[in-house]
Amino acid sequence: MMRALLLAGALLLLGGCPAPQLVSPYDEAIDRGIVEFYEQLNLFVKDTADAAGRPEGTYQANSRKYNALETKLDVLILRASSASAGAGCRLEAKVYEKVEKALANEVPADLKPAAQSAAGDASGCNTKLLELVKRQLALIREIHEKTDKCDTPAGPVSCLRRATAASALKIANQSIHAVSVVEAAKRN
Amino acid sequence: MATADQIYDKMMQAGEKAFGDGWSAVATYAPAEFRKMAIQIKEIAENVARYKIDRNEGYSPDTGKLLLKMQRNACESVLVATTQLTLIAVQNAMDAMFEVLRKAFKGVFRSIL
Repeated sequence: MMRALLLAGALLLLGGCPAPQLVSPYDEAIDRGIVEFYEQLNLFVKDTADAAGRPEGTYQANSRKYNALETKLDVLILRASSASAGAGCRLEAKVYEKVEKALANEVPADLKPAAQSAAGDASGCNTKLLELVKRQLALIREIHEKTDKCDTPAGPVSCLRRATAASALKIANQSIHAVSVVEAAKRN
Repeated sequence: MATADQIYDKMMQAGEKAFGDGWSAVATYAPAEFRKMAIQIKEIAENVARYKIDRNEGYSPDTGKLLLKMQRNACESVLVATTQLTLIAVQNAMDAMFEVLRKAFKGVFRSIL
């Protein structure tokens, strides 16, 4: 009787143990969140460039939108870093294969196996990539606030010029795309 | 105006010297990153040149510098992540490399590099 109880207890314990994780768990919130961020940033930058030279295109009229975008990134960084527990960037083989296919052999160098820390996971890679996106956003904000100017009858005002918007999105979208590809590769 | 290929070639030459002993560590990944940066430097220089001709076109040298900083951030992050080099070591090497570019390319490039 005692042996049967012990066996039942052991089986219960084993049944309660999580299976070993061979691939970082897919996080739908990051996958969905980075797509939403891409849409919001691209729409915001293009709309702001269209409004350049008008009051609604100035930095002052748009500073709160930068706060909202930055906060969205902070939430995604928090989720990714919680999942990786600060372990660093390392793509599991299965995830790496999918990333390589998705990017048509143009995998960012910091995601290639030789580049990765011995410990770590795909969530650690996304933490790094999301932090980079946040730095890119801060530079777009600085350009809008301080360096881009548009002439108006009342004098120069802050703005985001069309040419600036095009160059800035080209650079920032490289990093955003990489986050999206890594998260999608963790699915299945 | 210099082409993206000319800028890339100069970056590769200057990079090897600037990174010194660290070059072997970054040599695998530097070409792809330097290629992206060369294309971006060329695009930024063209926009600054347009601005200097007509203030309603392109963008100012100050904006060009910050856009280049965006691309440089991405490049530095990659090189730090791919090697055992510290961020300071990579930044110092990039500073040295940019100094070579500043001397090699004149005109509008000087205002953004």
